[in-house]
Parts: sequence; C-alpha cells; structure tokens
Amino acid sequence: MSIKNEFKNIAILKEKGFQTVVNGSVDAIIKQISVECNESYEIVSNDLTPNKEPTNHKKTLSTTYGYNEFPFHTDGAHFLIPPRWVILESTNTIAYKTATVLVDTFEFSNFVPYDNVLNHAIYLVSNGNYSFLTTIINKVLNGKPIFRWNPLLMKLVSKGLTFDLKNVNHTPVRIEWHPKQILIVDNWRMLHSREAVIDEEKLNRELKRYNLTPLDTHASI
Amino acid sequence: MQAFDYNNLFQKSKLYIQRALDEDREGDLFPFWISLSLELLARSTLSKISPALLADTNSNDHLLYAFGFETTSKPRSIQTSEVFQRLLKINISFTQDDCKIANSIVEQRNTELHSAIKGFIDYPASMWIADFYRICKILLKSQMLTLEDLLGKEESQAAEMMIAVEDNTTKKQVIDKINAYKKVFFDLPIDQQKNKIVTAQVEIRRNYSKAKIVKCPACGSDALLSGDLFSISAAKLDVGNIRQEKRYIPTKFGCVVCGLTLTSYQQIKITDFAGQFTLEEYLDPLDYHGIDPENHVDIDYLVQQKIEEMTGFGEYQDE
Repeated sequence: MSIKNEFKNIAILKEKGFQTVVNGSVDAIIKQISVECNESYEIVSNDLTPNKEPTNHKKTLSTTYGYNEFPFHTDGAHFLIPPRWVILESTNTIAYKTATVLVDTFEFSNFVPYDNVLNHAIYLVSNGNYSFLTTIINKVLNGKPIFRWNPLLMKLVSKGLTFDLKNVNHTPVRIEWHPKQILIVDNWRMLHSREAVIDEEKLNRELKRYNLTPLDTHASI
Repeated sequence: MQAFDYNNLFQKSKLYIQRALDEDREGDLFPFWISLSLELLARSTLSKISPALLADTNSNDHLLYAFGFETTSKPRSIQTSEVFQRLLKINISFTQDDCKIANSIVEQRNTELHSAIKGFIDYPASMWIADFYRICKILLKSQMLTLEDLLGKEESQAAEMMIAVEDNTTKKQVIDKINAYKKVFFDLPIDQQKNKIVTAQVEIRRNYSKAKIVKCPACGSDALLSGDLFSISAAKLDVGNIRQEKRYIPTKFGCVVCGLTLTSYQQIKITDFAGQFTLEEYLDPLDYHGIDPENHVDIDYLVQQKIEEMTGFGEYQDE
C-alpha cells in the first residue's frame, strides 16, 4: 500500500487527535507543532522494545504485561503535567503487524452518564516521590482539559465507579507500522495501547518515542 | 511545594465535598466535611494566584518552600482565618459578610474537633448551606471554574437553586423594605420632606470623603454608600495634586433623609449599586513623600515673618 502522508500543519492532529506520516522528519514535525501551538517543549526520547516476560520490580506497562496486550492508557500519567504530544517513530526499514491502537476520548468525554467518572471521581496518582490527586479529565492544571489514564498508577480514592472503557462507546483505530512511519498523538486526548506482540516481532519490533511536554504549562494551546 | 499546590488543594476540596454529599444531609458528618472542603477551596483560591500567599510568614523557610526550594523545616501555611482575610483583599467579590460566614463554619468544625462541645449545634448547616454554596461560587469564579466543576451536574443544579431561592427571598425583603420607606417618606407633608432633605445635607457633607453619594432607591435623595476596601491604586500626579483611588465592594447603604438602610452586599446588589465603587483621595505631598518641613526651612524665621505681617511691626517702626 502506498502511503503519502505528509505533515504540513496541525489541522489533522486537531481534528482527529493523531496523524501518521511517512518519510517525514521528527525534528521538522516538532518545530512545526511548536510554532503553531506557540509553545516550547521539554523533549524526552527513548527506545521502545517489547519486554520478554512480566517482572515485579518496576510498575510499568512493559514490565507488567510483557509481550501481552497493553491496557489503554495515556503516556506519562504519573507526571503532574503529562506530555502534550507523543511521537512514535519506526526507524527500521521493515513493517510491523503488531499495531498501536488509538481511542479518541472525545467520543465519550461528553457522555453524560459517565460525567461523574471522568470529571469528578478523584484518583491518587502515585509517583514514588510525588503523589497527587486528580480527576481523569483535569481542567485545573492547564486551563485545557487533560485526559489522564493509567490503571497501574491511578487509584480511586473517592466513592463510585472507576473508569472502564467497556462502559463507553468507542471506535479503536489500529495503526500498523510501515517502514519509517511516524505517528503523532495528542496525549491529552487520545488513549493508546499496543496489541500483543506477534512471535515474529518479539525480537525486532523497535520504535523510538519522543515525549513533548510544554515548558510553560499555562501557555495557550 | 506540594503542600501548597493548587491542583492538590482543589482536588482535595472536591474529594471532601463528595464525602459530605455522600452523608445524610441532616447528620453530623455533612457539615464537618463541608467545612473541610470550604477551607481547602479557600486555600486553592489563594494558591491559584500564588502558592506564596499560603506561606506562614513567621519563617522564611515556608516562603522558600512555596517557591519550590527545598527546606529543612516542615512547610507551614497560614491559619484559615488569615486565608479568609487575604481573600478579602483580592478582588473577587468576597465580602466581610462572606468572611464572617466562612469563619463561623470553620469555627464550628474546630469546636467539634478540639473541644468537648458538639459543633454545628447552634449553627446547623440548614442556616448557612445556601451561603456556603454562594461563597463557593465566588471562590470558584476566581479560579475560572463553576459550581458544576466542584459538585457535579446534579448537585450544582440543586445548589444554584438554593442560591436563587436565597437571592429571591432577599430580593423580596429588600424591595418590600424600599417600598415601605418610600411610602412613609412621601406620606409626610412636603415641608417636612424638604426639611429632612436640607438637614441631611450636613450629614452627607460630613461623610462624603468616606462614602459614595448615590440616589436613595426609596426617596430619591442623596444617600451614602460605603463598603469593604479591597485595594488601593498607586498614587498618581493629577494637575499638581497626588491622587489615589480606593476600591470598595459595597456593603452598607444609608439614607439620612428617609432612614432606609441596607447592611450587606446581598441586599445592596438588589439595587443599582451592586458593582464595586471607587473613592478618590488627595494626599498631602508632605505625608506621602515623608517630608519634614523643618529639614528644609527655618521655622523660627517663618514664624517671625508671619508675626510681622500680622502685627505690622517691621523695620519701618524701628526708624
């Protein structure tokens, strides 16, 4: 399949919450986002490779779920201000069938029966040396709603139901990985997960991740 | 500065209000959780402006902590009563009346926690719950939030209804009062009405620098509006004079002519004087700049000159 996605501006990102790009430059994309959003970012990058087996010593999705399917989550949920944008890049020249799956929370963030769960249930986020309270949709940190969810790190401390994707209508979008593909995700809006890693990709699936966190958390977006 | 962090204070306030709303509305724990929530919401309002506003000023360590520095002592914040006092001084329509109500709620909680006396007996939630929601609304507005953000949809609708009922009750009482004073005044013979207006001018002139002159909604005469001072502008030079503006939230209205008085912002906001008002003050340049004239002129010489001017004794008489 021929893919000619190009990153010209953030219009598609704003509309859909994500965009795939082929043969683009991550540096150029970051620069474009920064200009259009009038923001500077702290950029943290790391390599993502599947972990062999679940371990107990560190509470990350990777050590907890190993090659299995990850639960839907947002990245950096343990930070008071999570990364605004997450950019994943396949630096390899081969394609991966193990997909990254996205869910747009705009589909259910206005779902009235779930208002209490998303906007009023209080969670304690444990982060080792810094714990804090938050709602899943937090409007007070930045002025713009931040959707935060990581079932491993967030413990419900108020009464009522906890968040469960099964209770809301949603349309998952599968992103298979083409060579040199880049995926840009609005991490304050989109949930993502990784499918269970297929056998052929357990040793060679490798993505580079860039987390972009606004330096001025009160900048307008 | 986690202890003074805005997000944590707000979310904790929200958590405690949920605990209150889960309780029996006539039970002991409903007002107890409400009082905790109110304190945290008040603190979050200050923290939203700057966490430093919460720092205990007895030690620099607490201020440094508020700015994110590591300190050796445990961070300590100001007393709740001081929190309410500081809220009075920032421009958010939080009045002395609100301050009194908020302090009373917190005092009942302290009575419950720190004494053998049961709190919230003499001052049950039914007496102040509408005021509590109204105060929350003021504090939330300053955080660019609404009651719904704190209470959720259903509870906020109920709270808004309680505020509206309270407002409507106050509105009816104020309108009835105005009409009653109007009737009494205009039933007086014309000469008595005129006499009262003239006499009142003396009182108004005596107080005009401390209050704003407005038209009485009952008799239409000049009347006085005063309030809670919440800010003072920087001094400005105005055609050779030093002028300063004092900004007030109106909390007292009095008409010397017909006798009508309104004694709270809630009552005054029913009239046309609801907005904040400003009084101008002209400052003595000597006081403002801290000038002592004796440092600059020879007072004995000036006195001698004045005496000579007044008595006519000058050099001529010495001839």
